[in-house]
This record gives sequence, C-alpha cells and structure tokens, in this order.
Amino acid sequence: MVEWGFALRIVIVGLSVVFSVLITLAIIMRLMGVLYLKRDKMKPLLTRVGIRRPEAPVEPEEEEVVAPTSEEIAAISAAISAYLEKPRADLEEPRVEGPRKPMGHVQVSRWVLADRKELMNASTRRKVPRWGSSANSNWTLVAREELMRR
Amino acid sequence: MFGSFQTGIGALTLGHLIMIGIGFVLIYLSIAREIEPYELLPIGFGIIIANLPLTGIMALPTGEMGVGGLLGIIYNYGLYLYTILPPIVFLGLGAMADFGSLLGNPKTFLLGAAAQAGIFTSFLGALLLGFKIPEACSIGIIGGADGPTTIYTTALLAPDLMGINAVAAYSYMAMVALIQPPIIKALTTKEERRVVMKELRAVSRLEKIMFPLVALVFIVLIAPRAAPLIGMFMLGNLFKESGVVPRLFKASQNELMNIITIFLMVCIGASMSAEIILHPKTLFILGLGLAAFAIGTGVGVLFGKLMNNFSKEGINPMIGAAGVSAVPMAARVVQKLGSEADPKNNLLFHAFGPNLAGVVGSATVAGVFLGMVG
Repeated sequence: MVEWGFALRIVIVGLSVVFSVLITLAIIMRLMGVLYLKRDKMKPLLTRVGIRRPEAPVEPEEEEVVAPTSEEIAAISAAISAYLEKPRADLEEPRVEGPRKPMGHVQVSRWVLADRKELMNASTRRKVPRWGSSANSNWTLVAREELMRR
Repeated sequence: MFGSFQTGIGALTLGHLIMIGIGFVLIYLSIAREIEPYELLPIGFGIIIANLPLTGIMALPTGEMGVGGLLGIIYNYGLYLYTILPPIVFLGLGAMADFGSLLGNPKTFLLGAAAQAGIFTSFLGALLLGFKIPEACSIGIIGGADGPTTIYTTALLAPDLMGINAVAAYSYMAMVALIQPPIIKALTTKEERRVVMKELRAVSRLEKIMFPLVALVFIVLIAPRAAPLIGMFMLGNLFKESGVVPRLFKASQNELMNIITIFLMVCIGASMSAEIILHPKTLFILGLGLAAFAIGTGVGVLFGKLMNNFSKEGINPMIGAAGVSAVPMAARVVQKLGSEADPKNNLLFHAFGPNLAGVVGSATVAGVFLGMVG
C-alpha cells in the first residue's frame, strides 16, 4: 500500500527545495556579478565611513625640453651625409637609422631628411635619454612634432 | 575424462541469450552509431560477460577474506556497499563544467529547476504502477538525465534496479536529439524559436571561483545528503577555475574519470542479469524514464515561455529544454533548432546555463530523496 501522503510530501518538499536553492543561488550570483561590475564605485564603502580620502590629482609627467647636443647634431649630420651619398635605389629604403651607440636614441627618418635645416635649428622636445628606456626610441617623432608645430 | 570440468554451454538459458543479444546491440550502437560510446560500450560488455553462465564473475565477496568475483568485488565495494564510484565521476564532470554561461545570465537557474518536474511526475507515475517509494525515487531520478546521479540514487535506494535505471538514463541521454525536438516544436511557435538572446556578459575569474564554494555551502546546508555529489562536483570545478592545480584538474577530468568510468560502467552492465532484467517492470521503468525526459523537456520549455513574457530582454523558450541536464546534448539540440528557425541565432552558450543548472538541480533532488527516503 502506497503512502500517498508521504509521497506528496516528497514532491512538495523536493520542488520547494530545488526551486528555493536555485533561485537563491541565482540571486547570490547576480548580486556578486553586480558588485563585481561596480567594484570601482564600491571602493569608498570599503574605506572608513564618512571619510572619503580625496585622491591626489594625477599630474601628467612633465617632459624635459632639451635641445640636441652638439654630439647629437654631429651624429645626425653624419647619418644624413651617409644617407645622401647612397645610390638612388638605396634611398627607397623606408628608414635610415643613425649610430646606435653612443647615440642610440638618435634615429633619422626620411621625413626628417626633407628639411634638415629645420631639424638642425630645432629646439627638440624629448625625454632625457635613459639607456634601456622606451622613451629613447621615439626621438624622430618628437622632432617631427616640433617641425610641424613650426 | 574431464572429471568435474563443466562448460557453460549446458547452463545457457533463453534469458541469457536474450541478454547477450542486448549486450551486442549496445556495443553495436556505441561503435557503429557512436551513441554514448564511453558508457554503452563497457555496459554492453558487462552484460555479455555477466550473462555467460558459471563464470562467478559477479559473485559478491563473502566470508572474512571477502573472496568474490572480479566484478562482484568492484560492484560490492564501489557501488553496493560504499557507493563511492558515482561521486568520483562527478568530480570529473565538475572539472569539465564551465559555469560561465550560467553566471552570465543567472535567470537561467530557474529553467534548470523547472525541468526537474519530470522527476516528480515519473516518481508519482511509478507509485501508480505499483513500485515502492524508494524504487519510485530511483526511477524518477532518471528524468534528471544525469547518469551518475541516477546510479548513486539507485544504488542507495533500490540496488536491484541499478542496471536498468542506468541503461535507461544513458540511453535516453543519447536519444535526446530524437526525444526533444518534437516536444519543443509542439510547444513553441516559429517566432518564439527565432527569439535572439542578448549576448552574455563576461564573467570574472573571481565569480567563477566563488560559485562552487557558495553553491557547495548553500546546497549542502539545505540538502545535506546531496553532499557527496555536489561536493565532488564543486571540488572538480574549483580545481578548474582556481587555475593553480593544473595537475589535479587534469587528473580529475582525464585519468581518474576514465578509470572510474571503466569500473562503473562494466559493473553496471554486469548487474543486468537475465533474472533481474527480463521482467515486466523493466518495460515500466523504460516507459517512466522516457516520460520523465519528455515532461522535463516540456515543463522547461513552458517555463521558458513564461520567463520570455515577463522578461525585458528576450529569452528563447527553447533553452528551457536544456534544463533536463544531458550535458551537452540538450544544449546542442536547442542550438540546432534555433539555427533552423534563424541561421544567425546562436543559442548554444545560452542553453549551457540551464543545462548546468539542471545538473545541480537533479543532484539537489537526489539529496532530497535520500534525505527523506534513504
């Protein structure tokens, strides 16, 4: 003889448990997702209540304006001279690099060659060379910006 | 001349021959049709070897020394007595599961819960057909479309039904592509099948790590007897999502999972002797299992329709059908039907959400059954 009362209780309890468990998990994970997405906005809540420490303004790193040294100008001139002495076919090369050491940060492009006088007189803005720093690799672009500004 | 030597030929019965034939059919289906080969091939082999007479291979260990047949020992200690094999399979399944799609759209947890309706209707159906309550629980859980959950529940509540319940569960999982489409099409319009769902949001690693821990604590507090299944499942998933134990993660989803699958499936097959299987109630179990799948699919789709009506963002009702578990076949069925309705519609990842919620849901229901009946 089947105990129908007990059987129905199993059905009701089973359905209630499975729905309540999965709904609660859905709510918890939804909340966790919302909190995670808004974690930046929630940060002040995690600091001391009522005291919101103002964040120090982030100032852009000032770039030092340095004119090319006489050594650099000499290196550039040498590179340009070497470039101009090349046969026409070689001039189609997209880029000619200056000596790597000791002036590894100097790089001459064809664009620069278009107006060497401008370049020689340029007060060129660039970072102070630090060997191994990526700041040294962009010298040509800086020179180009300067010429454009003029 | 041969003295006490005895062949098995004289002991063969018609029942043995029928069961050996069934074993061959399962092996054929797994090799020629590639239907659930990792399960049906060893099960088919187990059926054949168990139904060859006089082998003693399924003899349960007796006496102090525990002497028994090879498969009898594995069956006894792995399933009948201690029931440790199914939870270890769950460890591997957890390591394979990616909850990203479920966490990306937590509403789909509900679809996983709705699809468990099939379990309870089959449970009531089994009672109407004269099965006892523990047997009805083990038959109903077939509708969870989750092999290890079915085996675990059956091993604890109705060990005599182990073989047929396991085969029914795995067979219907393999036949999801045949069972589900007509039900889904009957319950949805073409417009509903065309509903395009919003792209899932990216889920952070932190959320994926937190989920197995939160789910473990919460589910096991509510349904403590689900601990072996849910615990192993979430442990496997934590191995995966933590990213710091790649060897454990790999071992869980490959080596350990494969070894246990061999033992478990051969034993399941070997438990299907002619005396147990060739019985009218086997047909009832197969019928009730099919009904559980069908009802679970139908209720999942109807719940999807309901959610679609109340949701601002469209929910394709078909993804409700994936709530019956059967990972990943049910999700693939949804994707196929979705792309038939609209070739640009990609529902696969949306369907994985209810798919995995269904795994968690059916393990929770198993915990309820074991808690109330076991």
